[in-house]
Amino acid sequence: MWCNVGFAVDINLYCATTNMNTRDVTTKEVEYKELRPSHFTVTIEITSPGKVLTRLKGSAETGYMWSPYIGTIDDNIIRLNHKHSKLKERGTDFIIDRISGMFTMNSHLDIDREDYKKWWMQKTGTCTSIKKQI
Amino acid sequence: MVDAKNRNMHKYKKTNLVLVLTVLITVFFQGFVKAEIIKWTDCKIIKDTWGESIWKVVQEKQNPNKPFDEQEYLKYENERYEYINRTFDIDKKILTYERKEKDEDLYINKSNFEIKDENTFTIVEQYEYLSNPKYNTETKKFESDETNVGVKYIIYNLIDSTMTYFDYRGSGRTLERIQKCKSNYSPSTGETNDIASSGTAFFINNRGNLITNNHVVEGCELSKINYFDKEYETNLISTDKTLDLALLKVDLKPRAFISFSKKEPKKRQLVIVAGYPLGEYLSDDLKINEGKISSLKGFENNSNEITVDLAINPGNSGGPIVDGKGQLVAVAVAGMSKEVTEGISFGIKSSAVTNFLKTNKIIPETNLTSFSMNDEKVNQLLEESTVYIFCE
Repeated sequence: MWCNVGFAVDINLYCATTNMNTRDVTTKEVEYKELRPSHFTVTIEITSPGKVLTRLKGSAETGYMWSPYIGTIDDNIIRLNHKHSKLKERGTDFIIDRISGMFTMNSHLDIDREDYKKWWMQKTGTCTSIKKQI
Repeated sequence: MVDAKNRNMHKYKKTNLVLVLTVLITVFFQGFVKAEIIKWTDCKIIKDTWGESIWKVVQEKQNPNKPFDEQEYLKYENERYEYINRTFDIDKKILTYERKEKDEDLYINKSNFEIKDENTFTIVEQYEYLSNPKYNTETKKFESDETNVGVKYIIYNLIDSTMTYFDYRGSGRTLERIQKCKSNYSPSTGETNDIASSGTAFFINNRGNLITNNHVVEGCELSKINYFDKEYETNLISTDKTLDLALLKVDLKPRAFISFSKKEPKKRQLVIVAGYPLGEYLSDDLKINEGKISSLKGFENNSNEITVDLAINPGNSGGPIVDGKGQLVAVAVAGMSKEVTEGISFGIKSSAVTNFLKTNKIIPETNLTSFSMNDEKVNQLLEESTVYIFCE
């Protein structure tokens, strides 16, 4: 019985990053870049109503991706975070629009520093829902 | 045609009446309340991935020829603990974890849990761990300047009373540990069966033998009695589910006991009941009241029971119903719902209790004198022979 509960995967996504924007923390200048789509997969488990636990699996196109994320889910949006509480909330917010499939991944430095509050790196792209291929 | 119709109507009414009565009948037992607190006790480790891997490494060094025996490892691991218990407060969504390691202080931890569905609770916790740790020989600790974020995902399955703990690091997931516990929760009814489980029992001889209802002690690992402000553990000697009787023994010589009436019960006979209705929530004082026998049969023509008009309530279960001489006439067992009926309660006849005792090689004590006792003496007898019994 426990196996079925534990291994129930609820949502699988196949995502591609198409843009990477960086903000220089000193000059505040933003550099926008369009990328060749780099693919990764997202596995979302619903741990309780409205709450999720998510893993990202990178590919050769993306390299290593930080994981796992925890967050919330509703009809429209999945909001996830992977934060170092000991490092003053340093980490990444990952937001997926369930209607359009578009995602935004904002990486932060120490969030309690006024000048670091905004993202320093932002990745955007799209996700599609998939079933396991194998 | 008319006769047939009437017969059918009669049959229909009878069936409905039985159904209604079946729904209405309630045992006088403090328990089976809607689950608000779920208790898991005596949790045992049945899978321990991390511990097993360490054990294997140690064993390979100490005894390389010996194959790894998972059961041996689990036995060793479980024997380290006196007990591991968990209590789920459903309203507050707080889990209290208690772990008593042998020769160690009790460890208690409280955490918030989420309700995933009616049979599953979960805890998700982000934590930080050292990445690329190096062992510092001076401090004798692993150290690192970098940390990573992992997630603990713990699933509490109420159906099989298991705790399953997964560890998430990077894109991977590891099954770390499974524990299986004993639970007071019944998934089919959504109710617990030992919350405030209590009733009444009474001494039947001076050797410490007690009688109560089976449903008072059923599912209870250890029943205790409170006798003159002191708690005593009881030993369950025998039960009879059909009669709903249980025989217990406690290691004490009671001040008094209830002897059995030799006379057959009669309709309109005065009877007295003693017990602890609503357990100790109402008060810890023995309640005694009186009424009359209204029928020599119980529910559904049960000839092992009598019907009485006594005001008895949940918690009276297992209490003595005695006559004016303080001799046992019946044992309080069940009654009809007070919402619809009035003054319909049932007791197991002393003759049925006698048979039950004789089968268990106990000769019931009978009082040879036939003098009536005054109220004061009956009260004193009941006070000294009737006890509050509860599930530990």
